[in-house]
Amino acid sequence: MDFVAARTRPSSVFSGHSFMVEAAIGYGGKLPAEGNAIILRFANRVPLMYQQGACAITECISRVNWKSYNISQQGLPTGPVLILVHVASTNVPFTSESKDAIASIPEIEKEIVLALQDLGRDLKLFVSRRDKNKLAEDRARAVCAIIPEIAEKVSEIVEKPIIDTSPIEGKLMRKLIVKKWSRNGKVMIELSNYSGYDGEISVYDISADDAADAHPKADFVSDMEGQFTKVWKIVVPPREVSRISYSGRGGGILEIRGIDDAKKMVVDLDV
Amino acid sequence: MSREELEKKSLAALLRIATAWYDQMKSGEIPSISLPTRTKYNIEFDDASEVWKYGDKESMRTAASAKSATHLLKMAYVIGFIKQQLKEDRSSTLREMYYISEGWKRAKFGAQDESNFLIEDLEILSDVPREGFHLHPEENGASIYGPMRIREETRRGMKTIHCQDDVGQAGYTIPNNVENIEFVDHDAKFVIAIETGGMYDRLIENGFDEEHNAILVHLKGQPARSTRRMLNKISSTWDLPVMVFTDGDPWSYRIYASVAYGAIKSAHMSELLATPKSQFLGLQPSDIRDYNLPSDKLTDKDVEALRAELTDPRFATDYWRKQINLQIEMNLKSEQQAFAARGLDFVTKKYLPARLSEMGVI
Repeated sequence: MDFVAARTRPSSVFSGHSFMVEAAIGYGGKLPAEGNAIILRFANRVPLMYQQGACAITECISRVNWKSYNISQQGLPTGPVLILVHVASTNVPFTSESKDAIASIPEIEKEIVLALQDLGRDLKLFVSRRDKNKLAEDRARAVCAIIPEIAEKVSEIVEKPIIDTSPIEGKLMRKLIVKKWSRNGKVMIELSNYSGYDGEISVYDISADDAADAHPKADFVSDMEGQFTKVWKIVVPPREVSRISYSGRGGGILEIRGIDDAKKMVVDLDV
Repeated sequence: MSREELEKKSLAALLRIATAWYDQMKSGEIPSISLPTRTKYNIEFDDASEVWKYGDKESMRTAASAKSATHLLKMAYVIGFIKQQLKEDRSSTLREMYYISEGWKRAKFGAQDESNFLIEDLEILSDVPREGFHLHPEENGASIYGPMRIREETRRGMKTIHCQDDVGQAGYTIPNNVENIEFVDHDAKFVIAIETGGMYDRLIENGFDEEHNAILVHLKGQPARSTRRMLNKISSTWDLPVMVFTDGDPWSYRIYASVAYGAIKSAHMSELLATPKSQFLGLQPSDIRDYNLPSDKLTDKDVEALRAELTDPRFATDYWRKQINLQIEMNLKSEQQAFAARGLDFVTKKYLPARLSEMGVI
């Protein structure tokens, strides 16, 4: 999951019985993107397996207006969401002897709704931050991938030498820009440092290429079922560009560690 | 403007756009272009040329987001394509260009609308009609019939054509590029532009063109660019009155408006495409009343369109206000063919002569 949050509400009382509500929410990752949210119900740490529709917990989840937290909703919230609610009490008010569903007690319902709304606010913050990052990435893609193509085409039209667009990149991004692309059986990774950061960074490149002929040579290579993890430890001084190349088909995952997230931008030009 | 001049001008204009981008990028700036916004809120009446043109509102497109950067990339590819086409003296249709873009990887068009829109952008930026880029639309122009002689530069040499004697029953087909036509001479008193093919054929069959020395132009509904350019050229070269004869419904009045004042989509070329001297012949709402024509009730959409026309600056004259209000009041519309209810000759023997003399044309 990309995001997890949990809340414990202060304990409270209904009809002379004390109780407490705990709730958690998960978002993204391997959760199914389509369909209703997954609901996990617990009463005194015991999972409730049956009669989900008859339970006060389900009722409370659909009562929350998830749309105000940027989650789509059709009765229950939909999308890659998992909701867990636990009701602990000295006397859990079940609807019947089978102990499958919690009865709708106004005091309990109020606590559940409050817990869920609190989690919704956290989730909204996460989703909006993620969208903002997406916007930045979109901009980076434009600057790093498309502008060089425009430059190439325009230079061809006006029949002048090709323009180097890296000053545009540097001016706009002020980041460590890592580009990866493959052409004619060669994979290139280019690191341009516009960020001013001068420490050591690690490049993690995970793909089906073993990069035996890499230049410079990888500091560490591991093979896992045909997927090779290549690691380079490099220092790219500010305003300089380093390149890594090897034979292969490209693809896979590229990650940079050792530098603040806000100061780096990874662009795979083959996508 | 001759063909060579037009080509030279368009090539120069396209290179100017590309060079501007080249210089922008060279000095470390993000490439950008600014274009007039193309909505009806940015259309202004130009008193000097009496047509509607784009106003001052401009929108800027910079390559700072992936979407607009891709747009600029596509534009660069199209410029490259046109440049090559001009060099090799080839031409292609808009649809062909859309398919050619298949090989442009990231600059490939998603739909044909997109490429059409982009060509219009280039027309505005370069001030050259798309004929100058050797691009033409898929569909053929409409046809023309009447006592006039033209000379057309075809792929197989110059041809002189008389639009009555040298053409078949259906008339001379207006080519995509009207700029290649030379207007030799004529023996006409006026031009009638007709919305429907049925009425166009009726006038030819009844010999209206010979009897009254009229040039008949088939608009084929909302007229294509080449048809409007043809009308514009006939009107400006020979100074003939152009009468627009359409159905009597709100949509047909818009056909008249696009002939007379230009369309929003092509407002950057209104001077070339619009014929401000053209007049509306009919079918007028008052004709429905005066001739007691068979008619249909207006639909809700018709009434809505009529009300929209009342607020449209192009229809802001006493004549139109009176006619449109009359139509809303009667709640009726008629087609050109409705005259057939009074006999097949009624339109050519009675209605048109009466209406034309009322307008002072004959």
